[in-house]
Formats: sequence, structure tokens, C-alpha cells
Amino acid sequence: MRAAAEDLTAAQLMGININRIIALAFAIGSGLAAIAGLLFAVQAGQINPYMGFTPVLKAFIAAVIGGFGSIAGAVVGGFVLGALEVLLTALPGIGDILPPGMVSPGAQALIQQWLPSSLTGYRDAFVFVALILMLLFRPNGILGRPDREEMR
Amino acid sequence: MSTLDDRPASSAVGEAQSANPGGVAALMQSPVAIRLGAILLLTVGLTLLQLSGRAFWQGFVINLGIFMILVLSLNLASGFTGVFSLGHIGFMALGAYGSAILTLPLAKKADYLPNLPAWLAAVHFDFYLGPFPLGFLLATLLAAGLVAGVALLVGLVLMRLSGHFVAVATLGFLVIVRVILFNADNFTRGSRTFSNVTPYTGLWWVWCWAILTLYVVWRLKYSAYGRAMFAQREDSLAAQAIGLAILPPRLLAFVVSAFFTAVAGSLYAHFITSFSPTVFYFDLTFRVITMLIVGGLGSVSGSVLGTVAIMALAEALRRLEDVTLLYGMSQITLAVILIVIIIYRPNGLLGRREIVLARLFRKGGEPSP
Repeated sequence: MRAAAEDLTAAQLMGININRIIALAFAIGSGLAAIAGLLFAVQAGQINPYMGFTPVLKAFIAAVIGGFGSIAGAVVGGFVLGALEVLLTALPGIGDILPPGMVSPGAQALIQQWLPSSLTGYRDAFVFVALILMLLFRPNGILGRPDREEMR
Repeated sequence: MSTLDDRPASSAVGEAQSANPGGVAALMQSPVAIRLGAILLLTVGLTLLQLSGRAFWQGFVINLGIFMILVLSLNLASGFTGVFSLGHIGFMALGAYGSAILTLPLAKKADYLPNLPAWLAAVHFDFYLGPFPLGFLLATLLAAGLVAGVALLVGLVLMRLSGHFVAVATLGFLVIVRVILFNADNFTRGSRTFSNVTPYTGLWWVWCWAILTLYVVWRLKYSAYGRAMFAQREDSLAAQAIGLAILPPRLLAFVVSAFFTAVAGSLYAHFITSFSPTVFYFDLTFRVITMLIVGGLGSVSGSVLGTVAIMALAEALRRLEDVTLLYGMSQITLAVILIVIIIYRPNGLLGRREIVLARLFRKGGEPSP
């Protein structure tokens, strides 16, 4: 499977049936996703046909953050993403945590008006900003190893 | 309906031909004449449709035009440069909200969006020049210009990425736009429906913009900029080796395409007249991408063909659904047809080739020189 991920053509030349490998990986992955779906449904207590969309998106982001193709990376990415989301929901807004007297009352009012008092509503936006920064500065994720530039 | 052009490169040949005396046969081979003929045909068709008063078909053709603009501009950004953007509907949403806020009449604006900042609450683009809604045109241009500016900033960052990464990052842009639209209550009413938009959009508006988009995208494809886009898509190393910078052509495609996507958003907003941020999300994104891929990435006439094919197919299947009472079948059938197309024609119906009207006529007539 790892050989096929590395280089499809080379794996095929080595006598690996890549179609079977890909199908197998797809089947195992789908099965694991179904287990996650079961756990998710039990925890949420309700189901609907579109419930899978957001988790898949988040799984994808977590995989990018952690590093594609790395098992430990997937775990780390999942934890980082989960912690980020909870922190963004739980932390108060900037206007509320500024100590009184640090800025003038006028500025304080301006901050409270223009910066949201809680970041909850903007949670997804921050998650994706983090993702874009990640892609720019460490495109292979926290644990992924850097790719060689391929010359053809 | 089809408004496909001859490629600009061969137009000199075509004009030379049309200068020869030879009556209809020569005229049939002149790209200029064919172009004018196609536009004339479209004008006649639209006039007939306008006069027929059939609201349903008018709505269908308006939708067709809007999707054509969307697919053509996505093709410019994704097909020409190979930088796959999943975030274009975000530009559409910004264009829709921006122009809708601008065209709202003053009285309605005070009533409907009471918390707008003063400078924005005072502007209203609802004036007419005679019977012509000049305000709508200006609001569309202004909103699209602003969106192009946003695209420039976003593109400066995102166009440095490639492959899967840029798809995920642009998807992130879409989510960010949606979150902002939901939370900027003062401007967008948040998750509540934004209605009361004046229904300016008609057949003529949509199709004039569609023809303009087609023309711009077509000219871009065969310009030096367009060839730079294709070159860095085919092989970025080779393109760099002969001295082509990667970023400028990508950025140009991204910004121009965001402009037209925002125009489509403005047209859409003034057509459906009430919408919420949920409209501009994955559903619309994937519909546009489907049309693009069925048509062929990089083929301008493919975009036109793909849009028409998918829209017509979806409508026909929907009718069939009403007759057979098998609700949901149309979506399943459409999905299966898509899978079949992708398996048997992985590059779409046209791939990167183009249908050239002049050549179609030439086949029927005398052989080309």
C-alpha cells in the first residue's frame, strides 16, 4: 500500500496489483469511517443524511495539519484541531479580557463594538485561517516529511 | 444559443477570405460574419422568448446565462492555470451581497438594514437613465471591482500553493466568506434572508454579460497571458526554465475570474431577489464544477457546452421525475451519467479542444485552403 502511494507506476512494475490495493485501502477506510459515524451518531443522539459532511471536512483539515500519510500525524492533527476549536469557543473576546484602564474608554467601546465579544461565531473562519497558514509554511503538516521536488 | 467564435489568431485569414467576392459561401467562412450571425441569432431568440411571455422558460434561460458566466470564469481560474479553486462561490456571494446592499433604495435601506454605517446607508444605486437602470450597472461594476480587489489579496497568498493544497485553501476561503456573511449582521442580516432586492436582472442583462465573459475568456486564452497560464499548468519547471514567472499569470486568471464571478453573483441576487448565505455554498460550488468538468477543463466552448448539457439534462430529468413520481431519481441519474462521462471521457466532452463555428461551416462547404 505504501509502495502504491509512493509511485503507482513503479509499484505496478514490481508486480503489485495496484487496483486491488487501492480498492482494499478504500474499503478499510470506509469501514473505519462507518465506525466513526456510529460513535458520532450515538454521541449526538440524532442522525440525518447530511450529518457526515462537516466531520469529513474537519477530518481532511486535521489530516493536512498533521501530515498526509502519517498515522501519528493524523492523531496529532485531530488533537490540534479539536483543541483549537474548543479554545476558540471557550475564550472570551478581546474587548472583555483587556484590563480596565489599559486603553481609553472610547477605544474600549470601539473595540467592543467592532471586535466580537466571543469568537464562537468565527470559529470555522479561524480554523481555516490556521489551515491556510499551515499550507503556506509547512505544507507537509506537523509530522509529514518534506517532499523532494520531482524532476521529470 | 451557441455563440462560439473562430479563434482570433485565424481571423486575419478569415477577413481576407471575406474580402473576396463569392457571395454566401465566402460570408459563411468569415469569422466576423459568423460571430455577428451568432449574436444576431441569439438576439432574435431572446426577443422571441421575451415576447412569448413564458416566465418559466425565461427564468431557465436567465439561469443558463448566469451559470455560463460562472463556469466560464471558473474555467479561466482553474482550467487554464490548473490551480483548482473550490472557493469561487465565495466571490459570487460577495458580489451578490455587495451589489444588493448598493442597489437597495434609501427608504428600504433605512428600514431593512438599520445598523449600516452612515457612509454606506447614504448611497443608493437605484437611479435610472431614462428607462435604463444605470444604478444597477454601476453597483454591479463596483461590487465586482471590490471583489476583484479581494481576489488580488487572497490570490497573492493562495496562488503560491498548488495541487490539493490550493483546493483545500480555496475551500477555506469559501468557509471564511460564509462565516463572515453569517456574522456581519449589520451588513447582511446574518442568517436571516436578505430580501427586498429590486428584480433588475432580465434576459438582456444576463446575456450581454455572458457574451462579454465569453469574449474576454476567449481572447485571454489565445493571448500571451493565456499561453503563459497553460504553459505553467503543463509543466511549471519547464515554464520557469524559459523565464515565465508562475505567479503573475495565475493571479491574472484568478482576479479576472473573480470579477466575472461577482458579476454573476450580482445578476443572481437581482434575479432571485431574496437569498441567505446558505445559498452560496457547496451545493452551488459542485454544480458549477460539474458543468466545468463535463465540458472540459481549459476549453471555452466546452464550458458553454457543459453548462447547456447539464442544465438541459437536469431539467429534462426533473420533468421525467414529475411524470414517473420517482422523486430523487433525477439526481441519482444525473450522478450516474456524470460518473460514466468521467470514466469514458476523463477530460470532459471536449477536453481542451474547441468547437470553432467557422470550421463547422467549412466542413459542409468547400474544403478549407
